[in-house]
Amino acid sequence: MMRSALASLRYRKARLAASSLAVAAGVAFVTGTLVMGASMNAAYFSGFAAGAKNVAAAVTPRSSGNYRPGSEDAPWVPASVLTRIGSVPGVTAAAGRLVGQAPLLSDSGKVIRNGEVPGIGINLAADPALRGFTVASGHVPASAGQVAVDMATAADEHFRLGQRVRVVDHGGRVRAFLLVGTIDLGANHEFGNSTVTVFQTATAFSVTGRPGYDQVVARAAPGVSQAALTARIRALPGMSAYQVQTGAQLATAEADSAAHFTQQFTTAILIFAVIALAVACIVIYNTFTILVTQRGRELALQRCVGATRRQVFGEMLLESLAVGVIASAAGVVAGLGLGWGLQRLFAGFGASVPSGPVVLSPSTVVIAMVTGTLVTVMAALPPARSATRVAPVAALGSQHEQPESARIGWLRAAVAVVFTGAGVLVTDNGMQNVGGRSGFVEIAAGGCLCFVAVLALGPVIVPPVITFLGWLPGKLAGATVRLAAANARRNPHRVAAATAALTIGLTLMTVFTVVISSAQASSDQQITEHYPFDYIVQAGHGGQLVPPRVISALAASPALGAVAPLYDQQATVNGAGRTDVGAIGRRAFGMSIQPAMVAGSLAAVGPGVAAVDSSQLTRLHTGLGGTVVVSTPGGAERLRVGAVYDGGSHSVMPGVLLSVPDFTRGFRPAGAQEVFVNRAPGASTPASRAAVDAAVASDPLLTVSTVADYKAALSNTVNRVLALFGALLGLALLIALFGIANTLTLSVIERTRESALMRALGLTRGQLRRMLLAEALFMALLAVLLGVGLGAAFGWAMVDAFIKSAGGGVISIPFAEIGLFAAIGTAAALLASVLPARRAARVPVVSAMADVG
Amino acid sequence: MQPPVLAPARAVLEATDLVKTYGAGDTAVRALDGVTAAFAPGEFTAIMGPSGSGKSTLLHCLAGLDTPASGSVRIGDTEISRLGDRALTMLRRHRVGFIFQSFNLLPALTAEQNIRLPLDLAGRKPDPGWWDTVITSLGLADRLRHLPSQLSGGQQQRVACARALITKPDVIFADEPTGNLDSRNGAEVLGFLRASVRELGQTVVMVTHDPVAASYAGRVLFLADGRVSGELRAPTPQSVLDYLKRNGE
Repeated sequence: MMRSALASLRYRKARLAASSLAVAAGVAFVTGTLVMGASMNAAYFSGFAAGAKNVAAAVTPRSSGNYRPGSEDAPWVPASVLTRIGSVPGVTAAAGRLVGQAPLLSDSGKVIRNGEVPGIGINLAADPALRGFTVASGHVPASAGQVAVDMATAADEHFRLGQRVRVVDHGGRVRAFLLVGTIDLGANHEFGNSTVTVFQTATAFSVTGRPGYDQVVARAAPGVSQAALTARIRALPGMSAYQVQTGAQLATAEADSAAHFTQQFTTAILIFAVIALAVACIVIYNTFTILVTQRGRELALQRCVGATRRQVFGEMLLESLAVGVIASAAGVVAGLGLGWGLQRLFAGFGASVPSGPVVLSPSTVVIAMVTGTLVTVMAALPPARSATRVAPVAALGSQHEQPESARIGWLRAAVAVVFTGAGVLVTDNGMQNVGGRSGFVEIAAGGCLCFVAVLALGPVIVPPVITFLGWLPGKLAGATVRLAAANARRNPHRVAAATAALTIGLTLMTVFTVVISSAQASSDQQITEHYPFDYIVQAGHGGQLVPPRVISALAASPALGAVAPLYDQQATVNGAGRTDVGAIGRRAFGMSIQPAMVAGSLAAVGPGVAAVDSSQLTRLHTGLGGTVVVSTPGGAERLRVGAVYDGGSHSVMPGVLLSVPDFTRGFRPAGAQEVFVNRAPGASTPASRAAVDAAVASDPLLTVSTVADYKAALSNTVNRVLALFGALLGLALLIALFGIANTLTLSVIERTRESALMRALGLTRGQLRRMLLAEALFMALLAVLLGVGLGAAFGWAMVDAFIKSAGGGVISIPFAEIGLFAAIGTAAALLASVLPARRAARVPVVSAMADVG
Repeated sequence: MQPPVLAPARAVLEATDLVKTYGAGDTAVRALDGVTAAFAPGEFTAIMGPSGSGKSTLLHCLAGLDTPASGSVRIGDTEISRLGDRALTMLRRHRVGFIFQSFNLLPALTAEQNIRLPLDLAGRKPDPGWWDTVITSLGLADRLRHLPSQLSGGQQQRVACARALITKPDVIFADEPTGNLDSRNGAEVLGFLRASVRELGQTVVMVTHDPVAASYAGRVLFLADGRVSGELRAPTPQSVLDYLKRNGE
């Protein structure tokens, strides 16, 4: 049987190639995902290993947990610790490492930002072996007035060695330095893709304003082990306040915490891999089913000459096993490339993922091979079982095809009924359950159930839908289209399975687009309704503020109307810690900021009177007319609650709103977080923009944005996400196309004599090609109809549930995008039919007629 | 029965010095080795010969399904041996009808759709009078909505006959049309072909190896080793058998 199976594989390599491609594509996606995850992890590890290079012991503040590199409130290690560690026996050299905010300016005077993050500054360790970088050009800073910059930034900004570069220090002053070198951070991803400037240590302290080091590291003398050195340092008096680790622990611990992010990331992508594999599974199932049908006579002949059912079954399984192994191997190879590509893709979309060499671990190979092979064999099981039911007498019968009945078995009907019912119930339940997150899970589950029902009903849906789709084109375009419709109708099971894959892809894309687009429309609406300000002046990251002189400059400009600063601070209110307390200039209310009022009016807010967001009432145990006690550095402020508002989810409104005088008296802020600005009545947009720019010109860290910018930034993000998911789902679409191409190719082979007969009766080559194109078109339209219909329905259900739970929002059905998906799906299906159509048209008439099958 | 007019003034179908070879070099086989034959309008000709004599190849070359290596084929005024694929397709669609031994019908189409197929492909409508004539004379009126799989072998061949006739072609080519039928159904199809020649003036060229089938024709051409080896007018089953015996078959 083995020999027979292999012979048949060789004989049918063309037919199996297409299904192998589908398996390979699915496996490639799984491999690619795993490879990407492994490579990212490896890059993280090597990055942190670079930081721990030559480090025998490291001292870091306790609870150094989650803070951005360089944030001002991060804990530190005082310089005295460095001195003491340097004198521990067995320490060859010790170095303090410092990371802080040091926004570097471009030659045009703007802050260089990578993503949203301005540049950071690090200090130059005295011991070259304990520096986490190498010199790329020039030299390291040799005096307080010199700096080096990372090579990527230097290249992007066209900096030349010997020029002056400017950095904004923590006091907001712009300081000039001589650029003397560029550095290569290599595989060190500690700083993400940020711009990095290297200062001498003393300068680094004065620029960043950090009170101490982030880390003190020590290099061991030859013969002293990491563990021994670490133990000695830990034994120093007062060291219990710090975490003391060996170099190896440092590398592993930090890489592990970073790798956690990688893992979530790969899990998300793995979901797409599973979708791809499911689609591939459908394609494989379909291919084997068709192959078994076509080989009915051959299998019957085998049974005639004495093959047992078990032998026929075994032969089919062996075939699928061989296909699975070969295709999976090909998929693993392709997945290596894909993993590399995915990493580039995500990097291109601005996700700060580390890059490094592509890593293929043995476990990846094993998982991908086993999954691919197993899925192939499982998918081939039902067709293989039906192969054993071929009666030996079928070998002798006429080869006239029996029309396939559209009748469905009771099992199929039962599955459809049960799944539709369950799906609708669960979805409905999810839509009612507006309180919690589980509503969405239920709607998603309901969607899956309904989808299974549609798949089960596929063979019943196909003939009427094709008749419907084919009616008008058939009238208009004539015989070829009518023939195509008849052909598409004749194997409902086959067509349903072939289109199922495409349907899955289109459904997911539609759901996703509807949800994303509605989210965008909702926040657009909220921005427009509640915050109709013209400009926002914002300070940079890392605790910078909009200084009072900028606020007064804005208020003094005749081209500008209302100018309202926003102050914001975390504080303890009514005993509840970390409550968001803020103040907004009175002029903003009614003009630029109009939150929905629950009770009272914001006009009531003034000395001694506060307003509270409705979502905070329970937490703070208060209500309209109640009291809030705000703990401030200036003492406890006791205020009456004069109004309750609903800030919504995209709000700039704080949890507790004070009057500006109360806020400044209590918290003494050095500046405002943001300033909202409206044009003066009658002032032109360019004039008001120029006035705002002039007011902030002295502070390069400040950014000015308009509501239009806000929306543009938002829609930019949304479009990126859409493109990213589009690219991921595109692979599922690609596999689906293999499915359609596969089905058509097999149908063409099956209908060789039929095509020849039609050619003999006067069908031109072009008509034959058009006929197959039309058949592919019908399949694509079927998938579009089902996919877009289901996707829009469940996308709508999800958005509806979201609106109910969030208490607001709009449903937006993005017709243009959905139309685009439909067009892409259709065009791709037509593309898939080109090769089979050419193949059919190439066959000479006489030889096909003579080929009595 | 009157024999047809000898040396017709104008043959509707004429083959001159047809040569067709398969393979190349030493293994080349001359399937047709200089065949010259003329077919008059309204004539029913049977082509007979042993297996490998080239009778199917001749039929394919005459019908424009296959192209000869040399020689010429003329249908009406058209020299077809040098036509391109598209022109040949148009010729088959409009001027030639086919009946094959098996697999004559498209399984996905009903009997009516199968019959109309050549007209549909050309975007034409059948002439209602002619449609009724063809359907009635073949007794297919109550079978039009059936799929081929729901028809008997004889009924399927009658549908094929109707399809060949519906375009009023210059020539109908039939390749062993009764090969898969029992004698009663075979006689019915052959009788119909003869009637279409006598009553409707159709020209029919039929390949067969059955002397009884050949006896329905007005003339039998005998082929051997790719050449015309003889001709018999107004054949009967007995006269055909006698001819075959005389020539050592």
